[in-house]
Amino acid sequence: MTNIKIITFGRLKEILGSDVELQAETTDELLNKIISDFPLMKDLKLRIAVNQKIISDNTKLNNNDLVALMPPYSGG
Amino acid sequence: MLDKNRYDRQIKLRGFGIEAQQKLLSAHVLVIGAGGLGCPALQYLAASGVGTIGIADDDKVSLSNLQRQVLYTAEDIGKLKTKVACKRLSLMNPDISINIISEKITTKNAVAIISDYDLILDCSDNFPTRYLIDDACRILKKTLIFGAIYQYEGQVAVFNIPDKEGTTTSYRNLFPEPPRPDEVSDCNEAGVLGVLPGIIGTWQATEALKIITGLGHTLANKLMTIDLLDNQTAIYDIPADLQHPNLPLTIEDFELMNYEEHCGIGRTVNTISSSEFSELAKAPDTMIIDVRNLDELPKIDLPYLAIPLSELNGNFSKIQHKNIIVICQSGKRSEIGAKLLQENLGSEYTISSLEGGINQLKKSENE
Repeated sequence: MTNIKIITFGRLKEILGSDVELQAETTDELLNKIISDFPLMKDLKLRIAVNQKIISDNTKLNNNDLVALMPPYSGG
Repeated sequence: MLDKNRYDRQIKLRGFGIEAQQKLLSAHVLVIGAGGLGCPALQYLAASGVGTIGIADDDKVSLSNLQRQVLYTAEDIGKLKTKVACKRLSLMNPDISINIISEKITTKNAVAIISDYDLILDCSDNFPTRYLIDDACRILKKTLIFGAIYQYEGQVAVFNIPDKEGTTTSYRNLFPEPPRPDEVSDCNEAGVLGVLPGIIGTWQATEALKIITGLGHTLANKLMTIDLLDNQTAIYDIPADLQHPNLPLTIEDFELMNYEEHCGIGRTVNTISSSEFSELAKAPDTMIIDVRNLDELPKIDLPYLAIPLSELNGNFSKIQHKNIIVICQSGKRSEIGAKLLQENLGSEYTISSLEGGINQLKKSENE
């Protein structure tokens, strides 16, 4: 199985918790799993980074990859 | 001209010297927002001898600012931030010139204001201003040093500086579209640890000093995140692809933008209650659009058009009526759907969303 460690930021930390582990083969699968567990996540604008590289398309995941979920912040 | 004694400790630095100090003296830096991020950024830019500093803010000092906006005192409450900041910074370093812009930055004045500076710091506190600054800086090819905060976390990035391959990125590469107004809370709603903007604003000033003097490596095309609670920092590569269908690409397009609307602010969706629904649904030239997924139950007894919310964007041509009532299970998706229709159909359409959705409608029918 492909174990993925997820780090979350901003409000996502409140929704998902700060350290989450999931099993997924791709970023799309990972996101779908998260959305089915946390429907609030569905409509949130966020960026996904795999091992500190922000991705735009569905990306294959390897065991122990680190996925970051980042929302925008407005505060100043 | 250059006061060697004042800047002695940095001129002494390996790799710095008179040359770097001279570059700072010649630099023109604009700080947009003189709040939590702007105060520390301005203090260090002024102290290190940046020759010309612009401060843009239309806000006045309030008591709840003082927990983090360290340029101001209790005596300044009610005064314009630009004026107080200018006075304090001039006392700290009388050798530099400070310009103040005490009005809100808009599509009408942004190009003229930004054009006077080499480097822009986004220290603002709301998405409409952030997207406005980002679009303007991308079009004008101005270096933008972005900083933003949330509770105990911060983001810093540097935009519009080409890397070795000539690639540049902007905030739109990171977050192509603004979030909905209810998605992300600002400091007023969510709170903020006072030292957080101190750290992030100081980091923005550091990037400014490095870019001006050519020292070290900058955060160009990178996003740095800082989490104070866990002492975690990370640097992420920002992708070069710009995925947004209708970005302003010219000054003319930019000046036609409405950033409040672009960020979903200022235009609210008209809602109708379940008691008004049956009456309004019978009005002439009216169509009900159910934006739930096709298998969701119960269905309503009136004629309706079923277009799931996720498919609404490509199906505007199916809409033939001028009065549109958008419905869903709880009223949440219909509100988003109604907003989407409002943004894409002309002003001759009347669009509303059923409050409480079909759940509420069935409940009131049974009462």
